[in-house]
Amino acid sequence: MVPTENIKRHLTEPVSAASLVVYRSIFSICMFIGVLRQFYYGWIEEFYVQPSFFFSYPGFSWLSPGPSWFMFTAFALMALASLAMAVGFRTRLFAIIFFLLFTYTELIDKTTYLNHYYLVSILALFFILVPLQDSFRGAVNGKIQRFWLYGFRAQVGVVYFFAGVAKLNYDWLVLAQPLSIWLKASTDLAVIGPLLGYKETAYFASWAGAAFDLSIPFLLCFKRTRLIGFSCIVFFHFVTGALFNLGLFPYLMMVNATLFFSPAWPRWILDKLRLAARTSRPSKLKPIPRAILVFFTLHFIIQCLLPLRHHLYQGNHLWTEQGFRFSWMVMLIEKAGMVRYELTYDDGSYEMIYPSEYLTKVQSKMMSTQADMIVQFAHHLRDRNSQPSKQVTKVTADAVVALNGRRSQKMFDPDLNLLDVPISDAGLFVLPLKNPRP
Amino acid sequence: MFKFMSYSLCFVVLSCTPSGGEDSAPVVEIDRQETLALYADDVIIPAYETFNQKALALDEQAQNFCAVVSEQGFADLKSTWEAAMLAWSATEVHNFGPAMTLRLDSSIYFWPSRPNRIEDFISAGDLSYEAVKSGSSLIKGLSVLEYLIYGYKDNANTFASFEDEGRCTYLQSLAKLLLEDSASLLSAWQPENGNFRDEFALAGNGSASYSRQKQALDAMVNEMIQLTQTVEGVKLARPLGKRSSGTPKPEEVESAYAGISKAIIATNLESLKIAFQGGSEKKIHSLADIIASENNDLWLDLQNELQASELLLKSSEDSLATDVVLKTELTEQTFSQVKGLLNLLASDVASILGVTPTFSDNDGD
Repeated sequence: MVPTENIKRHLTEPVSAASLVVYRSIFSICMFIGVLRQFYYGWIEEFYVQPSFFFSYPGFSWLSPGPSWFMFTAFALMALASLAMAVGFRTRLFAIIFFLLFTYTELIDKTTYLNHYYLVSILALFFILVPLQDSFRGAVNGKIQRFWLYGFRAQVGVVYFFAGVAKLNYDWLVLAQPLSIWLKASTDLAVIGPLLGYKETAYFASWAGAAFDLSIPFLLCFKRTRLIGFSCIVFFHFVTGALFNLGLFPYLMMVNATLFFSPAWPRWILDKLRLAARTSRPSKLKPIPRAILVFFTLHFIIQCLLPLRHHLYQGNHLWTEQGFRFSWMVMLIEKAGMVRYELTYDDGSYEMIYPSEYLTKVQSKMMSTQADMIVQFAHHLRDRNSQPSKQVTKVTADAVVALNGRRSQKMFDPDLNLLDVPISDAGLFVLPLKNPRP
Repeated sequence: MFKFMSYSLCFVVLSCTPSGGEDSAPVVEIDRQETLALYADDVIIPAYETFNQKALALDEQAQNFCAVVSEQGFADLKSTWEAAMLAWSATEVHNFGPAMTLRLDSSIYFWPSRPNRIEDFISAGDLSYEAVKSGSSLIKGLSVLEYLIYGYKDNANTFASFEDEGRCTYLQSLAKLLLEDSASLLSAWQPENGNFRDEFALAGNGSASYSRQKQALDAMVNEMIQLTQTVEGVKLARPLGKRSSGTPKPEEVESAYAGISKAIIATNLESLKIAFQGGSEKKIHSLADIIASENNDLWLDLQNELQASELLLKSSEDSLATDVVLKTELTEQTFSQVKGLLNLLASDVASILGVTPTFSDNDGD
């Protein structure tokens, strides 16, 4: 038998759907809690209602937040959808609703971008496609082609692996940055706090973090190392969850790791608790549609290429952030900056603009260090021209940014007219990073 | 795989750690809990005590002046207002915690004043303490007091205006409310009263307001950045005309009536230095100590920027309103110096301390 036939047979072999069903429920509960946090911390108001300007993604400028009531309703619907998915009620319908609403809110403003939100969108999309039964008990006892389970596993593996690859850089490995900065700010933690002030700790954490990310997918794949891998995951994510404001991310990643267990592991627990149905229904699984195969193939090709696209651009990607988003570049930079704009009008007069006077605190902080957003706001200043009798002919930025403990430096040539810079290529116009070492 | 990782880790830890001497000691010898306690006890509370004392002196002088309206009393009234204004300017760098939650910052000082709104309020007749207290920020606080005391620019006319009993009543109401606000602010921080001192100083150690030390440090540093940006972007850039057409606008200086804008800015900058140092000299566990331990050059640069800005402000006897028109170059230099200071604070200092603007989810690991 040719190898492709073997692979095909292996991928289409029916396996228990139990682990995916339980995963869907716990993932959905995490999402429900995540949405509640948005309400509790007032983030819907802060991120979607208060701002008067949003940093849209290329091609998504048509997406704008609705009025306050609409945004609150959207998040309420998201909570409802995640609850429905958790209990196994009309799961495909509610997965569609959740995916669309969640992705919509994430695409509104670049300043709210988080890698794990990107991951949530992808996983929610997978839940739309995966042919799992609705009813929790029925689904637990059902079967599914191994292909689907591998799809989820591959996605989780991609996140860890490319997050590890991204850590193989000078700042992370040689300077132990930005962990040096962040760990020193956490010396108040109980038990481990006093250790966090040592440079050695930052080096150890940096190298261990890179080794962890690079090895976890492989440790989880093999039965002999799976328990070690899972224990590492639980320890690692508990520690990082305690150290940094990561929200639900550490817990989500712990839940993701359960995908690598035997597909029938929940049944083993249910059997022990005598809760499982005694017999599995004979399953007649539909063949995987060709469109799905094409979709997953393309998806994973893109997943492997996107994190590497920064190599196509010149300059230090930690500094320019060209090719940074959607690349699993996780916790690699500590940046702070200050940006001021100078608008020149066609009559020769000029005006200084401080973006913090127009943006929220979070928007202001995020845009002040990211080249594309600095350029995007410059274009916005031209478009919103407060003096209709004149035309804005030039917008320059005095942008000063410090990266990973280095001394600050200018990000753009102060004479560069940002109106001539395409937003998506902003990183190409960033001045080279002068100081290799802090 | 594990062997490889273990050897790699050992190699890296040994090779990347500088050997011997001070470098082998813990990087962090500074207890940030001590930093917060120092800041609360030696910087914030003393600043609010001074402001409260100056507000008390102003209140007393307002009463004395209105009891016997005299030229000397008027001069004393001006000097007590100026002292209170500068004492407040020394606290602006601490505009977090009770100053915000009790909404006292805008009640004490809302700038620029709106003469039309003030005159409308006076014309309405009820100038009692209760009416002032329940009114908006536009009719109370230090800027309204400035308008009443210096408003007509011509000293004789301003003095004469207090022959109107209503203005004196208003003056007394304003001074009384200012004293009350300053007392509330001080009391909110004092350990024997509101005890926000412990909320701040014990951040990450039982504080309900700050569950982590970093949050308290963020609040402190963010306000330092905010104040410096206000000095640069509002107090200097506006009168210099940088926010409009490039033509100087002397009428946009902060203290347009009393003409003490430069003294206010100098006090703001001095308060920044004190905040960094934990007092008039650099103290152990201060923010300056943390920065210097990370990068001594950065601390030296910060000091230089602060000092140079203050020197430039003091290098001319004239008011800022005059300087922006007649000594543009000097004012431009001051502006550039403050800009340099803000760059250091908002980028280098914020980066070294890992300051975040508000609590929100961070990126994943």
